[in-house]
Amino acid sequence: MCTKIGEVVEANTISFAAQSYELHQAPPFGSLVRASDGEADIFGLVYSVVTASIDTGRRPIARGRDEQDEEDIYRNNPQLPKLLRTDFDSLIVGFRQAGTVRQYLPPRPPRLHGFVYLSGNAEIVEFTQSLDFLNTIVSCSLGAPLDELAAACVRLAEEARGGDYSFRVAAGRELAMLLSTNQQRLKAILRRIRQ
Amino acid sequence: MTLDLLALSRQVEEAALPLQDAERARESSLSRALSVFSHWQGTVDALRAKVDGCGAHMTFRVPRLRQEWGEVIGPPGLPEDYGVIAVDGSQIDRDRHAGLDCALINIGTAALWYGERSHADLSSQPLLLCKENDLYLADPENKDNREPIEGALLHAKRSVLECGRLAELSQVLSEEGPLLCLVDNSLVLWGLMGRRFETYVRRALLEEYGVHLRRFRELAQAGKRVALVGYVSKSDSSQVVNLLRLADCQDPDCRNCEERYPRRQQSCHELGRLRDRDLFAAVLSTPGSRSALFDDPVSTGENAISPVEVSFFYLNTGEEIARAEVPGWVADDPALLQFAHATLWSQARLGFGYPVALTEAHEQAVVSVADREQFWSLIESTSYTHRLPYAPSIKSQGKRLRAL
Repeated sequence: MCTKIGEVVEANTISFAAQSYELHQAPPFGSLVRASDGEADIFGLVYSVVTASIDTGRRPIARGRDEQDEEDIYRNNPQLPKLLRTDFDSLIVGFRQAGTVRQYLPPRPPRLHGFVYLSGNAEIVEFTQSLDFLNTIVSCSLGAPLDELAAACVRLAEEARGGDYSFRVAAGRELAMLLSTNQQRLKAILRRIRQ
Repeated sequence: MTLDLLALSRQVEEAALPLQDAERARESSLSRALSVFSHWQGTVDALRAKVDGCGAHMTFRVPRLRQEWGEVIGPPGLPEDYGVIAVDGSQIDRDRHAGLDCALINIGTAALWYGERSHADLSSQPLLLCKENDLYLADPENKDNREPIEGALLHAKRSVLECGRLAELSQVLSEEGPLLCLVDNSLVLWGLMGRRFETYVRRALLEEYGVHLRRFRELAQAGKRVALVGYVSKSDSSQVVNLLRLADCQDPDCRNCEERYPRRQQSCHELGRLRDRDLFAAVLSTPGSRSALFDDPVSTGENAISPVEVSFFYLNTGEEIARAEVPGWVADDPALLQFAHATLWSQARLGFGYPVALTEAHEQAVVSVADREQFWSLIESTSYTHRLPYAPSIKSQGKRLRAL
């Protein structure tokens, strides 16, 4: 089942940023999320999560010296959830139009203020039927930990298939083909998938 | 050329030198003040009698003593569930160079709930003043006589509106549990002090202010635990110090002392250098402790600048000595006063010396330089859209153009 988790606050052709509706409740690194440009469903992989002050001029300061429990800080400072926000960035890896999933960049980025959903197992399985999205990850020039991202999304897709080992093997083969000229990088990703 | 900081730094350096002497003099005055303070401790009736004896002759204001002035009350325990609402405001004053004659008041509020249902609501409410009634206070007996609401008067108007907003919120939120209601600064409208404004101006504002303040009293009378507090950080008040001056005066009515006791004149002036916060910084040594309660003299009598009686105490917030003002009905209710003391101390602790709810209300209220520019642009573009004959002055246009 897909869950509504946030809203697009910035978007471009290759990635989009969303604000999480709940503080500290961003989707895990490597998760598949879905937004929309009004016509097509646009899929992204979460590659960065930031929790910070809403007001750039006000930096959070330590408040828990006298507290026993971390939760007490929030209980005794109820204003904090209103003044902090959690944002996450996603790398666009494909889209779905007229029921067909395509693993290349969509014609348009998602709309601002469009809802962002965390894909459920069925949608993850549907999207990862093809492994072309791995090419988008390893070849992109985004300032993100791309090798970690590739490994994380393979692990999550395998999990969504109930731990289907054959998916991991297929993904490993795809990566071996994509990184045939860079064995070191390939090994690093495969190690991360295995762990 | 912008501000010449080099030239300015020399002036600042020169200005700082005499301050060292002033600090030494202050320390010597404080030592004398503490000796007078402890000498009169335990003689509240004698002190009251001396104050009453001076009557209207005094050239300075002294508070009425409710208890021994040296009493120090430790921080009481907090209730499990309670709320704190704070209000603060900012304004954009009228500008005759602008296209449209108007002003803006922005009221920020922070409602924080502690305990089981810990949560917060932060909001702001802008209010455009542009109608005749918003911009002028008219004399009901002479319609040609009117006072423009700007400067100090706009500030006083803002305080009244802030209080109105706080009363409105507390009416609703008092259903949910005990409430501390905080306003930034004094409950007394000091801007109306003196002869700057005619009686009808003061009366109009005080009447409106009184309506809002009395809503808090009605809530308290209805059994709601609602404590209104005016929180003054770094208060310049010297009312208790005045009481010390009077106590130290050898003249029975503190009237002709300067002629009769020339030596005492020096003593009186010496104590006059101090503020109440200097005195209570020495008296209230433990963070969270508060002073005795005093009745503010400016809140009563013919020239009162408050529609209700106001009492005050000083609180050691851990970072400073703050002045907390409460209306008479809170001062008269020991349980409510205790609640105000406990929650105020907790607020100061959570806010590193300053009530956290007031900080958040301020953050909601603040109008930045960019906001100000946006405001005047909005006024201007609306005037053009509706073809109104409100063009900004040539001076204003010239300042904005800054052509080379």
